[in-house]
Amino acid sequence: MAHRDRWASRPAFIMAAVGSAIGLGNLWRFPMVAYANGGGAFLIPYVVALITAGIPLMILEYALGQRFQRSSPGSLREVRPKFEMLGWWALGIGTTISFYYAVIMAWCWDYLACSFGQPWCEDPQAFFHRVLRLSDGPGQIGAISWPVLVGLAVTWALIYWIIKKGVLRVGKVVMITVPLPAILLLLILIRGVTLPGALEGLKYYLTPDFGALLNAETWLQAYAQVFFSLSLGFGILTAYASYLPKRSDITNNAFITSLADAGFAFFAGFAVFSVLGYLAQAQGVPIDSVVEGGPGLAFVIYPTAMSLMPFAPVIAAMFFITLLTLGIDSAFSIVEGAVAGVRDKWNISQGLAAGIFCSFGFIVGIVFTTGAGLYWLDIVDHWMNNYGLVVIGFLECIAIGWFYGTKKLKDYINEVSDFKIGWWWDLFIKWVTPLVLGWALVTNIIQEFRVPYEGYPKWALLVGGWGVVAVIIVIAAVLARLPGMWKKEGN
Amino acid sequence: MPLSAWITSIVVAIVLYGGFALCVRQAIRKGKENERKAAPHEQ
Repeated sequence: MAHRDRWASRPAFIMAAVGSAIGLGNLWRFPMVAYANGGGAFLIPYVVALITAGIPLMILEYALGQRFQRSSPGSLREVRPKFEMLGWWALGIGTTISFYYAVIMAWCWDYLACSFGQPWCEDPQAFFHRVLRLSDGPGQIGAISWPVLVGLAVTWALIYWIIKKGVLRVGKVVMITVPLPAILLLLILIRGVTLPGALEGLKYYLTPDFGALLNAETWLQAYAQVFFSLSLGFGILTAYASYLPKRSDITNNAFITSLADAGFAFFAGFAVFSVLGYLAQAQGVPIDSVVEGGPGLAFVIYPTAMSLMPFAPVIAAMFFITLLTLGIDSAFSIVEGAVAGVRDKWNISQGLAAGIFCSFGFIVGIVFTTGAGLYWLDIVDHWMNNYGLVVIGFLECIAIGWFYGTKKLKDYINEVSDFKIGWWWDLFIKWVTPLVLGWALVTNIIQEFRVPYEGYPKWALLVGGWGVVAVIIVIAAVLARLPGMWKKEGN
Repeated sequence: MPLSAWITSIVVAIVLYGGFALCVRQAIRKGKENERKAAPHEQ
């Protein structure tokens, strides 16, 4: 009987799971989504979504991995052999996301290197002009940005180094990469709230507009934010949980991971909006005009604000180290999830699987280092989030709720966990979560056909959006059909 | 800041950070309990 790798301790597992969940989105997505959907009032649907969808689905993914001692494809195969494809599909989406996530990390390396030179002082749009060398559209590929390519190589080398020894090294690395960004962000927050205009910024973030709660879109955004933020639907949590002994706790681990992720996002909003308030006051403009999410916030707005502060280079370096440490554990968790899937099925060594994956990831990622890279990244990201992860979450609930049976899994969860789950878990897995995800999916599809995403040409959306989704599904079907060397796992 | 902003933020903070603290406390308690159970076997 073969023995599976194991986490060194429960804290190592929890830190790794928390590190995977807390990523760049907590910093650059959550505060903006909250701001745009009722400010402080958004926190109410957010907490409701966390309790009714995020935590139940996380319990499900942990339980699958821990119960069957396999990563996503292997666990779902145990549920029904035909469901193995669903596991590969989830890993395919995670893999695709890792290709461009590593490029975002590369931008962070470049900006960290520039922190002391502060090139963005002369040109606030330096990110687009100097770093990305952005072309005019997705059809104009342009030249490769060499600084980004070097950053990409560094990122993949680091990911390889971390995961080549399996979860033992991951467990050590997360002891640094999880608390460090929280400490740095706290320092940035302390600096932020002591700046003039900060309170005005926080007012924008927190003042509730309770009227927004009557808008269906607010609730949809809350569920989407919870779902994207918790690393659900990637197969990561299932893979991580498969390295725990079968008798480990499940529900408390899920509660700790989810609450840590949500707590970090809420806290990050203070750091973001205090600085935005300061920037608006320093430039004498309304806050609305400086509010921007995504890379625009991290690489244009925030650097501009930091350049106006005393000790700007130090603050900038702290900020980009925060981004790097936030991103790296999310990035290597995705890769580990995929590598675990391949290892489980074909029984190859961790080092070899990691080496092949990272080399391939670097090569594919080159597309995103070109002048059109940002456009393609934006398109692929939109499709992976809205049609990849949402579909996987939906199908996972259907597979367990309606085919395997929630009772069987619930009995196992209650047998090993401190906090027992009741009828509510069945309700959320069988009905609430699939209905909300199905609703999100239908709404997104209708919107897609009504207005082309961000006004990109239709051919680009077809290639980078539907095309990539189709390729992932075909590859998942092929991988599921290939004969495997499934091991009987020991505990 | 309006009072409603304070109230919402404080309630959410209590739910998120309070809930997190309770879960971590339970995990620590369980860890110590397991250590105590394992100790006699090691002797």
